[in-house]
Amino acid sequence: MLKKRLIFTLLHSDGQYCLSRNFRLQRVGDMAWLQTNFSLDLITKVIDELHVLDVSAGPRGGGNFLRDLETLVDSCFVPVAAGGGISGLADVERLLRAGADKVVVNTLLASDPARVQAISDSVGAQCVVASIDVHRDATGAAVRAVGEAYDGLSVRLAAERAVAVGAGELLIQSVDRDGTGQGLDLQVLAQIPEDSSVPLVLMGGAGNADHLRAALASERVSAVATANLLNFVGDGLASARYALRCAGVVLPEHQ
Amino acid sequence: MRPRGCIVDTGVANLRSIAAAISAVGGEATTITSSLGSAEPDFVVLPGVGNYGRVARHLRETGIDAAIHDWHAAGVPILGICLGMQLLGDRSEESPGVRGLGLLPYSVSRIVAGASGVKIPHVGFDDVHQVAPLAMLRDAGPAPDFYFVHSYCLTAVEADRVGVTDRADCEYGVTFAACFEAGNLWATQFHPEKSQAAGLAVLSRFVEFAATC
Repeated sequence: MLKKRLIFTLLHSDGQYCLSRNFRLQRVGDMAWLQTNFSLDLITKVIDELHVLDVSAGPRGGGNFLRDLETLVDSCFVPVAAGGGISGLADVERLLRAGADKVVVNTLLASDPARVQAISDSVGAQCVVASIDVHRDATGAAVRAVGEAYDGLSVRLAAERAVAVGAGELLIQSVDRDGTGQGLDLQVLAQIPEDSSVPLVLMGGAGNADHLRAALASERVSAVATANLLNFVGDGLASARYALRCAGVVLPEHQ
Repeated sequence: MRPRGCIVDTGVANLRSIAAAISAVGGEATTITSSLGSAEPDFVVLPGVGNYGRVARHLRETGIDAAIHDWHAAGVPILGICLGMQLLGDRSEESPGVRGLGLLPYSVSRIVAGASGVKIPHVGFDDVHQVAPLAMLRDAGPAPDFYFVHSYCLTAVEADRVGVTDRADCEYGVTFAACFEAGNLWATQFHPEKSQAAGLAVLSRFVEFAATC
């Protein structure tokens, strides 16, 4: 039986890893810090997938980021997805050569969806994760956020279009819940077409194991991702994984 | 002494993770892009992602196809991973008319969802069950999870037909061979380099096997 997934996301900004709250970043430490103070080695053994996103203010996907990606791939024996500022196939190929198994596209879905299709045609849909950021407007409606702005497109339409241009997976992240540790926005599930043919990953707001459990409890959710460096530091993530399995969430057994 | 093998560059696979994993379990491996100047290795890893026909042709054109046949005849342990496992056989529905390496006489077919309605490709961690005891899964527990990403497979029915019975199966729409051992030919449909400790254990058993050959 196919298992659910627990994903950890690293937010890289100009060589430093960050905490994020409502998409505002706070740098915490570099790769060496991750390895010593964050026990990166332990963390990577208790996850099912690693995401590494370049959220640098300046030009993204550069040497710093690629070198760190290679370091992570060399010591992490699970699938790795990488992204941040992907503008076309050349960026994708660089990431795959550096060891990524999948790429994450976000802004490109809005700015040039045809390019996403070209990427999918070239590397395969299962290699392309469509990341859609969600904000709830004054009426409570779920609209897409793109960069600093909200383009007003409903999450439902954004998700349908992403699948139509060849995304093999949907990653829906709540801007409003991000970094708050108050739990994920599960209501957004109502916005994703029931008959969606691709796996769905939810992200944004995980503070403890129970938040992760609540997200994974839905039949429609394939995976949950968190970038919360502080809440799951040390053996926090291992404990969370244990709690999830005790609660009946079917995650892979990783001895 | 650490076994020294080679990893075949099929032109499309990401070799970095496999090389890192082999190294992590005590093997040494160099990547080969053609058969030129390749001395007999202690083991061969044939990875693979991508299109059956394209990779089969690539192996032929680079002379690696012929080299693998020679090494197989000499008893060198060979591990096929994912598309690499599929290529050890005769043919695949993915590329009609194209011959595989033909080291075993099986045909690979597309996963059929059937009544189960499962989505294709089969992507994610899924559990495997030994049909017969396998060296590669020694100490693995009754239903270990491995990472799969594929649309084609060697079905259990086909594996039985050609006598590949030392294997572990997985259920996804159809029952298919997740991995097998046939003399010096080992193969996994899953990616051991992406399957955490369980995957590293499979590679470790393979490198140990190579050390004893």
